[in-house]
Amino acid sequence: MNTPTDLFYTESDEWLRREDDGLVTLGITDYAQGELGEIVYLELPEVGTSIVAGGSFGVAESVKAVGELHSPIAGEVVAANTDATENPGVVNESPFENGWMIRLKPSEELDTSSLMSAEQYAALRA
Amino acid sequence: MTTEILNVEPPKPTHQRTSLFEAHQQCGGKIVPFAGWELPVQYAGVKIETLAVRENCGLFDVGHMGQFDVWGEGATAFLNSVVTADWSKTRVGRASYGLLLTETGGVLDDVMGYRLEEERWLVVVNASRVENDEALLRSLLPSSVSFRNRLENQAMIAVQGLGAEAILQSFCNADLSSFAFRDVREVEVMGETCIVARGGYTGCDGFEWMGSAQVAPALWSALLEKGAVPCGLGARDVLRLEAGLPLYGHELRENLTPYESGVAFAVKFDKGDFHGRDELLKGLQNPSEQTIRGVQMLGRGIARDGYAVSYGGKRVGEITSGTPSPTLDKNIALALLPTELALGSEIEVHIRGAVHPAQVVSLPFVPRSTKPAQKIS
Repeated sequence: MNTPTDLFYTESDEWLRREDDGLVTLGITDYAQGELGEIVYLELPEVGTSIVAGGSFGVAESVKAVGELHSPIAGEVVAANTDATENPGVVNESPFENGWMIRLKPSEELDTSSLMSAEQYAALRA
Repeated sequence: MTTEILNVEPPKPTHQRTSLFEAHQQCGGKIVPFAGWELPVQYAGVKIETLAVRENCGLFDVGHMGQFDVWGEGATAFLNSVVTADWSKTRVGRASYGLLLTETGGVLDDVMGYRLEEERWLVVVNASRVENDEALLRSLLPSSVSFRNRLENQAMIAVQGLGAEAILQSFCNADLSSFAFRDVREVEVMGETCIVARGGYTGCDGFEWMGSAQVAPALWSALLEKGAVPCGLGARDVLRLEAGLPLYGHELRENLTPYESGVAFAVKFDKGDFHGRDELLKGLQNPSEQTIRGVQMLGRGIARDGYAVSYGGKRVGEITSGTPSPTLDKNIALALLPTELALGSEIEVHIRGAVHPAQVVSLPFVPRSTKPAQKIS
């Protein structure tokens, strides 16, 4: 299983990347895309939407499963990956890169203590 | 991410495994709980599996379905007094669809009866309804008729698609090309006497094999070697939806009449009395104005079971099953809607608070490619 070491992870199989400009990018892990199977529909929030910590920021659907996407942090959506909503298969092919989902402007400084490292996440899904 | 797998029947406290469980693991099947059984929801992917059936041949483990032997003097009259269809007209070597009703005239289950001899039948029922069906049949069983649930040693494989006949033929001593749709015979497959019927639940041509749990794994591997593709519950659900076929727990429920469920063709009031007949007639004195209709989404949203449907801003019904259709490359659904809503009516499906446009369309979504019914000679 592919688990990039520069990311933080949630128990519900999302990943977060702290960008240089202070924004946080979110997506789902390789394990999550594999659990869903071929993703055929991706629903993401509009730019400007406020996301609450632990709240839903969208839905990824395969033919026979619906995955609700959760953000562990609060913030405002500053970008959504419209390439992925147009072509959801990119999430299966490239969950950590081209299949990213949203960029958030966090409401407060990112607290990584409640998130998992790549090592911890890899152990969880081993 | 929290994932919900759709159209999986309610879990039960314990799960049984079919005789093909190890084969599913070896083929990379993704195992889920389903109606008290552990079964694969998919192997390579729901789309690939659906298209494999449409293009050549797919294999489904349906060993979880209930199988009842019913035999002895009066067996045919007994079954005909319980099911809604007229099984007295089902000839030996033919299979028929029918419904079992509750005390109050609701649909208890939809079942297939395979008439093997004058007074000997195999009845195949939904896994989620086995206990209810067995209790009903046993409660009405005459002393001259015997009943056996095959649970101990049951196995069933559906071989589906235009290539099914050629693939299954390699292992069968009977000429499968002589089987009309819904013909059933006791034949030899892999040297064992078993039951083979032409039909299935995919809207495609195909066969069902009912035999022993000992032979099932060898037959499964042999069919795979001939080019059949292993298919899971996901593809089975997609195919039956594309064919517009109802599923118990969705389109068929205890609180819907056969008319609302779109299976009125399986109710024959003129054949005489049957279990639940009077209650069903009473319920029909105030006929319902809703029935199961076909729905096609006009955008990218996917309708799922339970989503509300409105017409002109007014709530008129709800989705009972929905899926992307790999065959049509459209999102399709079945919904309980007003009977009077004209074909082509533009409706709205409510998905997580947003309104998605859709249209009422005719059923089936994909024309059935089953063999013609038996020729009249």
